[in-house]
Amino acid sequence: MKQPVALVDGADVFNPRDVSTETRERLLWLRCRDAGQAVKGADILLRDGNMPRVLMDLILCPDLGVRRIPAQVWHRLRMLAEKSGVVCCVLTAFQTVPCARSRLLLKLPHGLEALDRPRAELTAQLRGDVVGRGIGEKTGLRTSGMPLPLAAAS
Amino acid sequence: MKTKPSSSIHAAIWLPRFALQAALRVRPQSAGAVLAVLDGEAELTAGKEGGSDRIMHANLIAECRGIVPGMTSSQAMARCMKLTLLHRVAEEEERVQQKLLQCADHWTPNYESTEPGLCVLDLSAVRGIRQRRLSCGEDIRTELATHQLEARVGFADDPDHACLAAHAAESVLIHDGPESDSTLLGKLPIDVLHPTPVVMEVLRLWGVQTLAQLAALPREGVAARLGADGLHAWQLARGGTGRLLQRVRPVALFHETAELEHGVESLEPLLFLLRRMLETLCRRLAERWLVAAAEHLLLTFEDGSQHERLLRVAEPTRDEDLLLRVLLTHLDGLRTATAVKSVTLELTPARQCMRQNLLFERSLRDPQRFAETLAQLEALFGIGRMGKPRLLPTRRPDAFLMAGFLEQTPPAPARHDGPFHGLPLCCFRPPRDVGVSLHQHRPAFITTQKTTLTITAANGPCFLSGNWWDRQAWSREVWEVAASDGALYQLAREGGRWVLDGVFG
Repeated sequence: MKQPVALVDGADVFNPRDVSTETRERLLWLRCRDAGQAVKGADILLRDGNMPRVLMDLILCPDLGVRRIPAQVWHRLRMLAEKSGVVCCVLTAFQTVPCARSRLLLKLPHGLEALDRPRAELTAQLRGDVVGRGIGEKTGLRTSGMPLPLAAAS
Repeated sequence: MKTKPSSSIHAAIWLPRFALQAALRVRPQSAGAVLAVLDGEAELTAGKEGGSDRIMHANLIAECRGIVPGMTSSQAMARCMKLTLLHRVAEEEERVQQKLLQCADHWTPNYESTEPGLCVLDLSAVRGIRQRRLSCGEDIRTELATHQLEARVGFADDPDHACLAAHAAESVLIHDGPESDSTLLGKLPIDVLHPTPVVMEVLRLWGVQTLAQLAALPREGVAARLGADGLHAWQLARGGTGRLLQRVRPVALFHETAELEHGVESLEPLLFLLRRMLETLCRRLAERWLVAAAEHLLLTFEDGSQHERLLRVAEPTRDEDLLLRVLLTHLDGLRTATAVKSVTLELTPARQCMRQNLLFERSLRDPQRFAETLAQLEALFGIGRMGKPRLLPTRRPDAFLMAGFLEQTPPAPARHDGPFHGLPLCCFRPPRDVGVSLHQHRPAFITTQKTTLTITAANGPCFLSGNWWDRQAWSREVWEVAASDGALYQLAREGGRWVLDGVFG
């Protein structure tokens, strides 16, 4: 099933050359200026409910902007996603969404040699830990797992 | 002669002396005079030497006095001093032609008009037409008479016979088959076939003056002596070949313009105006079983500036409320310096989608709402910041365009597709200026405004260049580096300046 996908690109960092033509044809790319605008865009898409998958990439957004998003906003987005039956995936550099149904910590232990390996091979080797499931479940959360590149540190 | 299927009925409407009838509508007071119309327009012939224009049509009184088409105006005036010469009026001829097409359109959508003043209708689908052909012909004549037009109507089983019947008719003539050919064809001169001048001259020399005489000639002889043009005329004289009609497809205009006496400064009156326009346009679409795929809005302001926007609809529709909502969403975020002076709204027509989704394919849940959502997003993000990315044919970084998500374009050749390698690059837009220290011609340190990173490993350089043939020439030296913060970066040197293109991951 080739469904359309919406990418809410919080820091406008997506490189369209990195995906196939077929993927680009079904991609709705929102090039946001900051995390606040990304939230507004995601809100509109989730209310609409026509996009079955919404990816919200906030990894390279400045920390401060992401931390300023109130918890009730995330709750609202979750309720909207549930109501419209949309799968919403938020990518952040640290634990941000308090009400996430599932939280996955991806490990990126790649060195420079990874840049020459086939993408499919890298995807197959991608490892992650489910660090939280359900609202309010007490789990040992790691608040920082990935290195923060220069973009997010500013 | 070929036997035509009896179920097919064609009617030809002919306006004799078409140009003269059109000119008389402009000067109705000349109706009773000795009249002829010249083959040039007044403006075009004003500078010509007098008497060089030729007679195109003459009325019955003039024909009785020996004035025939083809004469120069001097020759015609020599025959009758009381002759009134009229010039053709192109605009009026166009109007008369439109009246004729409208009349045909009332009977059937299947009609052709191969020359001004002649229209052939396929009436096969009209119920009970065979029994009431005479009354139908009279109805057509009556309708055109209300526009001061004299028409002759001919009925036959095939289009060419119908044309000949119309030319032979006094008012309405019904051609019922081969038995009436001798009567019908015998009446008509070969001019009605519009043969080429060469063929006409040869036939004249042979003494062939009527269609009956032409039809009586042997086919092989005509083909051998007169060629394809002569054979075509011979076939027409025999009643044609049972051809298909070259249907007239009227050009429908789906745009409305309103010039405002007083400029509109707020949204409410503008929406009122747009709603009225949409009602009219949607009605026109409905008449043709079409729907709107996009709305093109053009606002002209009092200071002369314009605002133009093409708003696409997710699923073509002619729902006025929905189309208005799309406009409202767009206009809601629009701020203008001066009042709106004129409004133009055009709908792009499309056929209604009759597609059935595949079993494993899911289309949009609510396409109509989605169009509105896209308009909202565009208002929030701005033009060029949302949609579908489309790559440009260059290797230069960040060379892409943003196309509308609903834009249907042919898929681009997948020249950049292939087995992807490495981690995706998250691009910094614009690339960030950094300082780079080299050690043995390789990057060793990256210095930003806040920190300095040590480069632990580096791949490269990779040289890229393009547009070397013009002023937009560019060249880059690209490095992939692992920094001491654990991230992988893409560094580039362009024109002696180091920039950070992005981070991998």
